[in-house]
Parts: sequence; structure tokens; C-alpha cells
Amino acid sequence: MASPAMVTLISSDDARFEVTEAAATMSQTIRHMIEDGCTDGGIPLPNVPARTLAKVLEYCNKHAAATAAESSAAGGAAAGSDSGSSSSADSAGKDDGVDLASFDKAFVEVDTDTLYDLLLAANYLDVKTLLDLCCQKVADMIRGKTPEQIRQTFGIKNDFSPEEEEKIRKENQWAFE
Amino acid sequence: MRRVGEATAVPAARRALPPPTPWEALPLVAPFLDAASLAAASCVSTSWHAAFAADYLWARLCAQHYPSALGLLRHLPDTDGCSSGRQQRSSTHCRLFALFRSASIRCRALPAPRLALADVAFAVDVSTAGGESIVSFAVPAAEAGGVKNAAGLFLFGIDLSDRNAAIGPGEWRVRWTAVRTGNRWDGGAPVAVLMMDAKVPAARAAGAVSFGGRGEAGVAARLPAPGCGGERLEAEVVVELAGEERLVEKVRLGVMCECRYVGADEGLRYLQHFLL
Repeated sequence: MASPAMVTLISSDDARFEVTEAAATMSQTIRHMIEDGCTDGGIPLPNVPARTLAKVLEYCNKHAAATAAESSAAGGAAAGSDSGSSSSADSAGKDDGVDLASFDKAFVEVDTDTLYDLLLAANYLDVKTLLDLCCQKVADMIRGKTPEQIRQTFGIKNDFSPEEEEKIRKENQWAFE
Repeated sequence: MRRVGEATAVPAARRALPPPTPWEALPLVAPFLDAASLAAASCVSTSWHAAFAADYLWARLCAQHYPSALGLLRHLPDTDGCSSGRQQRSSTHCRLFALFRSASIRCRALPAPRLALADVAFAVDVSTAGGESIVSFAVPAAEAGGVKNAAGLFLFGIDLSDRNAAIGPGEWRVRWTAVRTGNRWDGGAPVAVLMMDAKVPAARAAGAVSFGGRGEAGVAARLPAPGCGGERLEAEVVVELAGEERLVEKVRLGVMCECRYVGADEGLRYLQHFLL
């Protein structure tokens, strides 16, 4: 097996990240840049700071590795390799399934600023599954809360004028009944 | 190998986002929220309102939950009286959704009656079959309490033990009139409705008191339908009697539906058909 192709990503604050192409191309934005052939000297990502990019790549590495393990397990089974290694690959694949779900769950257990940075980065980099994960997490944090509780959760200032707030609250009264 | 389908799936705008302003990605979260959460979130701040009260979101919710509502859109007046000029007014579809949502809540909870107990008085005449008065009284409904466990029910008790009125063993007759006293409608003439005019047969009246103790005799009569059908309401008058002399202790007035007293609001809602 050839050593995996590597690409270099450059964050907005000029940190360089070396990752496998498999992990990097989980981002559709990066995939298109690679396809367009603009990878010489690294791929600049001017909207993503190092802190956030590191986190996103943690996600991509994990998921790319899981995908690879899955396909190699499938490949091994198809090739009819000896039963011992096949079954171990099988169980590894299953573990990964459980593992990934708990990884995802733990991955978004972060403060709201980090979560929001991740949401923006996932949107910019177009990592669909990560974007969905972040959106779902934010939605879960909103659901069932009153506006005041939402403000507390996300640290948001109420910038309505009293009249505006009264009017909007009245219009949405049905949601609080 | 270039996959055209995927390439076109990414809008060009995403590649050159401006530096993020606080919570600019909120609209991305909106599709993950149900209507009630969306409404609550739109009350958080101006930027959250812009993200979660967006017309396209609510147009989609309307189409999903109340497709017929969309056909009403051009028949509804633009009720927006907002003169502030800022964009804090909810979208048309948001208001349409709210309208239909509140409609479905209303069919479970009727609006509060427009008539209050304080607006109503009761007048009751108990007389012999021959027309001779036994006991009569008039009382504001708000003061006619005193029935145990009657909280919230359209059930009133009037203590008449000081009247020293006795109901003889024969047939007797009761007439109950409800009157809107008009205190709140300054100058408005009072309006009255007859709740009951019924006879208590001699047999029932005779069996009321056993062994010289206490007992009661009463009568229930179907109330006229208020015009919207359905309800089988009855007015009930019960006279509590005591002793060999069959002295009137107390008179209870109530409205029943299928043998249970209705709530005060329900009783008032019935009365307002006739009194307002």
C-alpha cells in the first residue's frame, strides 16, 4: 500500500497542518481546491484560525480513518483472507461505529464560542456531516428554552427596545402557551 | 476526476465569506428547529430575530402544517401597525402560522366568558301549587357562595335558615331567573333570562325529609339551547329542608351537564348567549 497522499493546510494565522488527502477532502471546499490544482505550497484557508482548524481536522482525521477501516474491512472480506484477520477487522469496524457516535457526541461538548467557530468553519469548509452535527447541537441547546434562557446559554445581549420586545413577544405568544 | 455534481453543489459565495459577525451562521441552524423553538429563538435579540423570523422559514412551516392557510394570504388584511421602521416586525408567514396555531389551541381552550359573576344576580321564587309564595329571594351571584367544594363550579348556595319558611307536604313550584344587573354596562338596561320554572311533585316533596331529620328536595329542567346546539345543560334547584316542620335551610342553584355541575366559566358562557 502506497503511503497516503498528504496535503498542507494553512490557517488564517499562518499555522501549517499536514493531513492526509482523505481527511482533507472531507471538506468539499478543499476537495475543489485540490481538483483545481491550487495546492502548491499549501492550501490557504483565510477564514479559519489554527485553533478551529485543528479541531475540524481532529474530526476529519477520525472520520476519514473510520471510513478507511470500513472499506478495508469490506475489501478484506471480499478478498477472502484468512478468517481470523477478517473477523478482527469486522469487530474493529463495529467498534468504530459505536466509537464514532460517541466521538461525535463528545466532540461538540464544547463552550458556545468554540461551537460557533466550528459551525462557521464547517460551513466555510463545507464538511456536511460536521455542519449538521454542529447545527443539531446548537438546535438542541435552543429547544425547549425561553428567550431569556437562550440568552443565558449563549451569552447574548437583549438589544430589543422594550416596545419591540413587547411586540415580538406578543406575536410569538403561542409558542409559550 | 472531477465530479461536476459536487462542484455545483457548493455555492461560489461560500468560498469568499466575509469575516464572521456574531452569530451570522444562525440561519444554518434554523432548519433544525421546530416551530415553537424557532418562535422562542426569534425573541432573543435583533440578530436572532433576523435569522429565525425570516419569511422563507415560516413559509415552509405554513406549507408543511397549514397548506390551506397559504390560500388565505391575500384575503387577510395587513395588520402590521409597526411604525418604528426597523425590521423587527414578523414576516407575513410567521403571523399566518401564529394565527393557525392559535386557532388549534383555541379549540381546546374556549375564550374566557365576557360575562362575570359580578355582572349576574339570581332571583328565585318558591311557591305553592296554588301560587302562594313560600320563600323568595334575590342575590348577586358573586355573593351566593357557601357551598362546600363548589370552588370553580357554577353552583351556588343561599342560606335561608333565618327566613323561617316551611314547605308543606304538597306540590310546590320553583322559578329561577338570572339577571344581568348592568352595573358594568353603565346605562345599559338589565336583561333577564328564565332558567327554570318547574313543579316539584307532591310525592318527591313528601319523601324529602325522613324521620324528622334533614333532607332535600329538588328539581332539574333542561335549559333552552343557546343556539349553537350540542350541549345538554340542565338547571337544578335543590331545597335543603330540616325537621318535622320542613323548614327551608338553604337553596342550591346549579347548572349541570350530564349529571355533573359545569364550571363557573361554562355557566357564564351559557348565560352570555342570553344576557349580553
